[in-house]
Amino acid sequence: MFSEIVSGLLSIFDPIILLLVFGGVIFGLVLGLLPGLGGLTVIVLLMPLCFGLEPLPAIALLMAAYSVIYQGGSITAILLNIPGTDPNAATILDGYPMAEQGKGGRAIGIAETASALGGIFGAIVLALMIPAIRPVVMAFGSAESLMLVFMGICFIAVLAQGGMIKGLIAGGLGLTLSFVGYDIATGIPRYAFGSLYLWDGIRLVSLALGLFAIPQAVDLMVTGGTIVKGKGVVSTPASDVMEGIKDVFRHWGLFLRSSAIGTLVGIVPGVGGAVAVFVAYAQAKQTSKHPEKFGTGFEEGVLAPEAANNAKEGGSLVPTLAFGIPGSAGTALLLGILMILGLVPGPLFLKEHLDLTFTMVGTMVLSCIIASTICLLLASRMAKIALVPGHILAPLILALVALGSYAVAQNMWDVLCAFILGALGYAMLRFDYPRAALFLGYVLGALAERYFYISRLAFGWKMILQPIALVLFIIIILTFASRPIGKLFRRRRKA
Amino acid sequence: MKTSSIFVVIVLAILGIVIITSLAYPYDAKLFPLFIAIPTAVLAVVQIFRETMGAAWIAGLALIMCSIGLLAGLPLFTFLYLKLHRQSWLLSIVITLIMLAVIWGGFVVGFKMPLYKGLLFT
Repeated sequence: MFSEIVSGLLSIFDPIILLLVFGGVIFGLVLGLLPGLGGLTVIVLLMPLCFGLEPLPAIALLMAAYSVIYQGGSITAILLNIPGTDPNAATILDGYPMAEQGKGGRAIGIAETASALGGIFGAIVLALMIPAIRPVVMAFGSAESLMLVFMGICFIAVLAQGGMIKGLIAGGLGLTLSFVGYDIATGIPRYAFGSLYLWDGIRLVSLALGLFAIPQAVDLMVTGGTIVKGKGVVSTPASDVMEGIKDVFRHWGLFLRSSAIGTLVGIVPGVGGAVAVFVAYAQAKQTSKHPEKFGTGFEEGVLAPEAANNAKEGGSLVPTLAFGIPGSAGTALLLGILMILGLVPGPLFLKEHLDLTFTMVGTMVLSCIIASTICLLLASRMAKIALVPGHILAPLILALVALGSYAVAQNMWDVLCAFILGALGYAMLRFDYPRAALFLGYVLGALAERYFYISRLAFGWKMILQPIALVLFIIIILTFASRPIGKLFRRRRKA
Repeated sequence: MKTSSIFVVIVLAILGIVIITSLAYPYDAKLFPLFIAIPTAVLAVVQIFRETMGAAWIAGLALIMCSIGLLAGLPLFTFLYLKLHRQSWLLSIVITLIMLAVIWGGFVVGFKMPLYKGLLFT
C-alpha cells in the first residue's frame, strides 16, 4: 500500500502533468471569476477535454480546476462585493467592509492563505482517512452498494432546496434516463423508440452540458449578468497582503477549528458548501473574544469561512471516492467523469487505483498552493475579470457547449441532445428541482441496475436483509422520516 | 395551470411512456426500470396534486371513483381530503362514517340501487 501511495504522489512531478495542473488552475481561477458562471460550469466545460486524455493526466487537469474554482470567488467577494459562488457569500460579511476601510490587501492575504492551508488540511484528512476506510469499504457487496447508491440520491434529494418530493422526482428521472440504451442483463436496446442514436444511451457529456451549462447561459442572456453592486475597491499593496498572511498564523486555533468544521461538513453527503462556511463563521463569532466586531470588517470573519470552504473539498471526496456517493453537484460531476475514464469510484476503486487516489490528493494540495500564490500576487487585476458583461459570455458558453458535446463522438445528435436536455435543465432551475440529484441518478443508474441484478440473483428479495444493507436501508428511511418527525415534535412542543 | 405544473405533467408523461414501453420487455430488462419509474411517477402525481390543488383533487376523485367504486371511493376521498387539510382525526373519521352510513343506508339498503363497484372489483 505504501509504495502505491508514494508512486501516486510522485506521478504529479512529471513535467506534462505539472503543466496540466498549472493549466487547470488557471482555467479554474479565470472561469470561476467570470460573473454568473460558477464552479459547476467550469468542470462541465472541462469534461469534453478529459476524454482525449489518459486517466492520470485527465485527473490531474480536472482536480486542479476543481480545487480552485471557489478560490477566485473570494477576491471578487472582498474587492467588489460580488460573491462569485454561493460558498463565498460568508466572506463578503467581513471581507467587503475591510476593503471599504482600505484593508482590502490584508483581507485578500487572509482569505488566500486560509484557503490554501484549509485546502491542504482537507487533503491531509482525506489522505489519512482512505487507508482507515478501506477495510470497511471492502466489506461492501452488491446489495450494500445498491443501498449506497439509493442513499446518495436520497441524501441529495432530501436536503435539496425545492423540497424532498421534487428531489426524489429528479433522482428517479435521472435513473430512468440512464436506462435508455442497451440493457446489460438481456442485451436488448431499451427506450430507443426506433432511434439508432439512442441505442448507445444518452451521452453523459450531453447531459452534463445540457443540465449545468445551458441554463447558466440562458440566465446570462436574461439578466445580462452585469452584477456590480458596490463601487469596488481595487488596490492591494504588498505590505498589507503580507500582514494578512501573518494574521492567519496569529489565529492558528481558529484556522484549525474552521478547517475541521469544513472537512466534517464536507464528508456528510448532500450538505452544500454554503452550509460549511456559515457554520464556520458562526463558530468563529461564538468563540471570538470580540464577537461584536463581526460584520464590521474583522479579520477572523474572513479567515473562518475561507478556511472551511477549501477544507470541505477534501472532506467531500471521502464519500465520493470510497463509497461512490458524491455529496454535491460538483463531486457528482467529478464522479461522472471518473466513470467515463473507466474508473468506478467505490470499493474497487480504492483497491485497484490507490495510486490515482493519492495523485488526486497531491494535485489538490499543489493546486491550492499555486492558486493562492497567483491570487496573492494578482488579486487586483483578477478582480476586473468579474466585470466582463454577461452578454459577451453567453454566446461563448453556448459555443463551448456545442463544440464540447460534438467533440466526444463527432455526432450532431449529441449536440441536439445537449440542447434538448438544456431545456430540461432550465426548467429544473426555474422550478427548483435539484439538477444534481438527476445527474447523480443518471451517473449511478447503470451501476445501480447491475448491483440490483447481481444481488437479486444472489439473494432474491432478501437482499435487503443483508446486515449492512439493512442498516443503510434504515438510515435511508430515517433520512426521510427526520423532517416529518421533527415537525411533529415541534407541533407537540407548541401545543 | 402553472408552468411549473406543466413541467411535472411532462415528466409524468415521460415516465408513463417508459413504464408502458417496459411492459413488453423481458423480466430482467424491465424489473429495475419499473422499480424506479413507478415510484417516481407516483411522486410526480403527488407533486401535481400539491401544485394544482383544486383541479387535482377533482381528477383524483374521478380516479378513485373509477378504480374502487362509489361506496368505498367517496368516503375515502372525503377522509383524505379532510385529513390532508389539517382537520382533526376525530372530525375526519366522524364525517367519513356519516357519509358511509348515508350512502350505504340510503342508496344500497334504502333505494336498493346497485352502486358502481369500480374497475378493481369488477
